[in-house]
Amino acid sequence: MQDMTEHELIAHSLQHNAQAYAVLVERYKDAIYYHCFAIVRDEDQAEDIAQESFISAYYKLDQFDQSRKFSTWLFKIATNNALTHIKRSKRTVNASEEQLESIVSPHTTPHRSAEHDELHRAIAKLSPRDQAIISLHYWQGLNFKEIAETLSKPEGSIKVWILRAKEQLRKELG
Amino acid sequence: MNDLDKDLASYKPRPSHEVSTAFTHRIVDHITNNEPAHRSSHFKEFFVNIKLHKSAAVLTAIAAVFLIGGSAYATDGFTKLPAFLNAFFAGQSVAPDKSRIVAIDTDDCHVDYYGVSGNKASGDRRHLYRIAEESKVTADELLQMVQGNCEAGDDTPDQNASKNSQYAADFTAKLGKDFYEVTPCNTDPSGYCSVHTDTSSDTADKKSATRTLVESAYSTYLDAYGSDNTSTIQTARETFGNNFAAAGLKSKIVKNPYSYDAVLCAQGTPLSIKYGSPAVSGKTATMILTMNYGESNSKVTVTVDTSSNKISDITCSF
Repeated sequence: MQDMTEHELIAHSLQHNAQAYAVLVERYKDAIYYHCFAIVRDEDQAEDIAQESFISAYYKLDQFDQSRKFSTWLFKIATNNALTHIKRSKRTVNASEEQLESIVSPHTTPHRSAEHDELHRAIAKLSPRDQAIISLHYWQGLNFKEIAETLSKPEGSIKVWILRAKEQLRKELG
Repeated sequence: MNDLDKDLASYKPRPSHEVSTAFTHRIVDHITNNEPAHRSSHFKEFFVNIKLHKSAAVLTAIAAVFLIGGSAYATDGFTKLPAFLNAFFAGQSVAPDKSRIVAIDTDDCHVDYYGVSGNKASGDRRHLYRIAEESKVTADELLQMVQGNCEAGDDTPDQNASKNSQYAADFTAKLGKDFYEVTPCNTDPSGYCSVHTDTSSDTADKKSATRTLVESAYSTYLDAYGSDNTSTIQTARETFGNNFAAAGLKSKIVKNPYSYDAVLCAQGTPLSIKYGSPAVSGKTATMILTMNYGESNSKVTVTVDTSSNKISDITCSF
């Protein structure tokens, strides 16, 4: 089952084959978890949201358009869940110093560069939506069209939001 | 790719630990114990939830769901569909800016603020929508779109599927244009219902988006334009046309065979550009740019279609 294509795994999942769906989960769990973490900045909440997203995706699998990328669809569900979580919890994502310290970069651990320290503080000050867009574009490798599909927004809006987010980051970084 | 792009690409926030080893197992466990998937009976799930809650409030909600959801009626061409998930009209008021604030309670239904149905939510939830003054959408129509959007994301009797799909499509198309979801006024420190759906949709954000778009477009253009090389100029025009201009304007810019430049309204490159404040009217924003040529200035009016975030027109005045 590990060797099956994504389409085959989806087809089996639609036939209530949970093991086939488990393979899909294994393939994308890290990306979805990291993306949720980039938005909510809490490991436990990110894991819960990632888990809810996979469960939700399973029950809506018959609505998935197989001409599209499965990962983009998953990111769409996870992004919505993470943003809704923030909205519902009525909390802002102004991470505390302690929380910021928990966000580490794999490329510089354990001695992060001063530039990256500044950068992750600046990113933490962006709105949750902009953090989601930055995560999708720079860390999950989605292009503008895929992000537009993920957020159900025009591609032009995504480009402008990224420009604005980068402008804000530049100001924060001085 | 500039330095910030490189920094962002090389930086990736990473949680202090990986997902738990039981992550996938818990998902498999859940879906195995909650079959049938994909077309599971929402009716069944609903009563499972009721058994879990066993509260008088929930039982009251059931009665309301049966009374309202079980009946069918027509309003303004929209047919109310029988359903076990429901949206209820809870009131309407007129805001100081003449927009209408409509309260809709959803029962066991989730409508998120990107207009895409997400997880089924437990319990009731109140949504407040602000219908723009110029919009012709009525409260009844909005209620049906919310209902349809809610139903479309869940298990729905087949005979209603296409109708719900249409309502959901209408909801998605009109959210951020005709109406916006807003926070309750009494929890908003400003005392006014703030839009928190599409930040580019209110005037302040349209102005901000316009400024960013125009400044980005022109600074990018000047960076690429600063040459006498014809092919470099043409490349700059194509970049401007492809990234920042609406289709009609794009062809005007890209196909311009003359030395007179349609973006700058000039034959030469200005020493600097002073950007005026954008003015917003409906879905159009205009911004006046003052081109500084040293001893003389010229004015360029840039028009932006805020719904597509593209520059739709550039007019020159001297």
